[in-house]
Amino acid sequence: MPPGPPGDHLGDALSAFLDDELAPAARREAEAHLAGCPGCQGELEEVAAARRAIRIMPVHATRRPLWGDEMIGAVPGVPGGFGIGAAGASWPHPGPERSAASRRRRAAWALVALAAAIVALLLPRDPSVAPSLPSLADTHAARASITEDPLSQLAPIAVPVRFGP
Amino acid sequence: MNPACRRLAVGCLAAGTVISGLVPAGPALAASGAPAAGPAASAPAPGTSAVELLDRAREAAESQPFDGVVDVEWRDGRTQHSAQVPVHSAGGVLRLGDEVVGAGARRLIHSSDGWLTLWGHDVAALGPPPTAKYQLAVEDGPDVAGRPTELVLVFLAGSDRLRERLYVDRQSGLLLRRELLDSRGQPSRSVAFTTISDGSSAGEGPGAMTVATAPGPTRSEEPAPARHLGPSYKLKSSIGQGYRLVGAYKAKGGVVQQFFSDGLHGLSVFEQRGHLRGAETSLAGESGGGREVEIAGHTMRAYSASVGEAVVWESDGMVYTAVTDAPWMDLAGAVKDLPHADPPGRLRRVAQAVVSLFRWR
Repeated sequence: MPPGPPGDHLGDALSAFLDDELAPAARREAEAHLAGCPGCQGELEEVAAARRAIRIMPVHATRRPLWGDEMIGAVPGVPGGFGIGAAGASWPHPGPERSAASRRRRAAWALVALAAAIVALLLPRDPSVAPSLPSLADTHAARASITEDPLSQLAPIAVPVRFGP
Repeated sequence: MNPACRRLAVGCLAAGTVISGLVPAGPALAASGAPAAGPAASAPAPGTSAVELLDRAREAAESQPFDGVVDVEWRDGRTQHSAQVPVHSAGGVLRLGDEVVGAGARRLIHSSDGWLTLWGHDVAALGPPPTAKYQLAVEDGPDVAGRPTELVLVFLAGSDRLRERLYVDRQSGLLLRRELLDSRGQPSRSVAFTTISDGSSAGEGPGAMTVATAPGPTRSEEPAPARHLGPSYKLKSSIGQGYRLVGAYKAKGGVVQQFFSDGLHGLSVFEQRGHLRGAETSLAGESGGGREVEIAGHTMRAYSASVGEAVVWESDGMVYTAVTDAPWMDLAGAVKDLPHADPPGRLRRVAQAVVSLFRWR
């Protein structure tokens, strides 16, 4: 990236300067400008300091994907996981031991879920009820005959009870 | 104290505000077969109110000796049914057919296992006076079973539609005929004496019963007062049009009965935990399928019988059965005030089962 016209400050060219991406002639011009420009010298120092700070930051692996290692391995072009390249953060590719342990865990969870489903099926449900209408009708009439007219309340239950139609 | 007597004391106070019917002094009964005239059997005094007549009828049914046949008629849909029941009363024991006995506060029914107690104690709460809901009037009635009567006409308060007719024997005070009327004024259910005599023979002889010698029960299904109920049981203080809670009881099989009264009719709501499978509709092996009805937007199963009307439904893991001797519309109105959620779908039932895994039982 060439610096701007002579007399201009380096600006974005500072980053290219630090990355050693300038052509030789442009680099010479930049060096000449820096020698006489305290502003650009200060900015160059700030950019360099920022880069150093980023480099010394710790790198953390991201969470394991939910769909398991086998799936990651199966994704074309993703060797060992979804790496993120320059930052260096990637899921470590599990070895055969870790993969087996993971399968055992999943199998254990599946067994627990199956056991829970079986227990749910075997648990006593609320009972099925078929109310006995004649019996309940007798109970009603007996109670009603205590406070209402006993003759007209009890005579109907002396008839063999049949609910219809 | 007889409940009828207790209600008389309460009912007469309330009756004065509404009851306007005056009972003309009836002619002396000339029929030789008239039930014996005891203290409660004397002809009603002029001015006797409808409430007094009804209370007197309740008392007479338990204390007057008589012998007769009662015709029970009811209708379900367009089908009319009727059955005759011989009735005997002597020594304070009321016998209806060979299967039902009332002796004091005891109610027994005979089954293949012997005598079964359905009820066995007096009650303290009597419910509202009939005048809280109804307007009663008294006029001269026709003869019933050859006996002159006072006719009690029952209207809903504030309405001129006749709901019920009760014919009370002028001499003995017995209720000789009771007719529930439908919306067209036609009898939908009735209980009526076709013959009646003084029953003097019923209280004599080796087979005669008294309250003390009434059949002893082989077993009891008498419900116990329900003092503590789980949260799944929904107690209501009143439902429908004028039905007030009079008592709540626990019966066998976890059945809870709430008994409501409007002063003339009873309405029982039975609650059982579980899911509705169907309904046993007959003791004798005959089964009736009932009919589908829709109440408050929910489909339920309704039944008609000699005893009255019944409806069965399920809501939130409880099965409800409501039974009444009142007209169907009263029952439908009461059911509207009770829980009636639709049964849970399959997914919800599975979710409930999974949740129940983590619930202490």
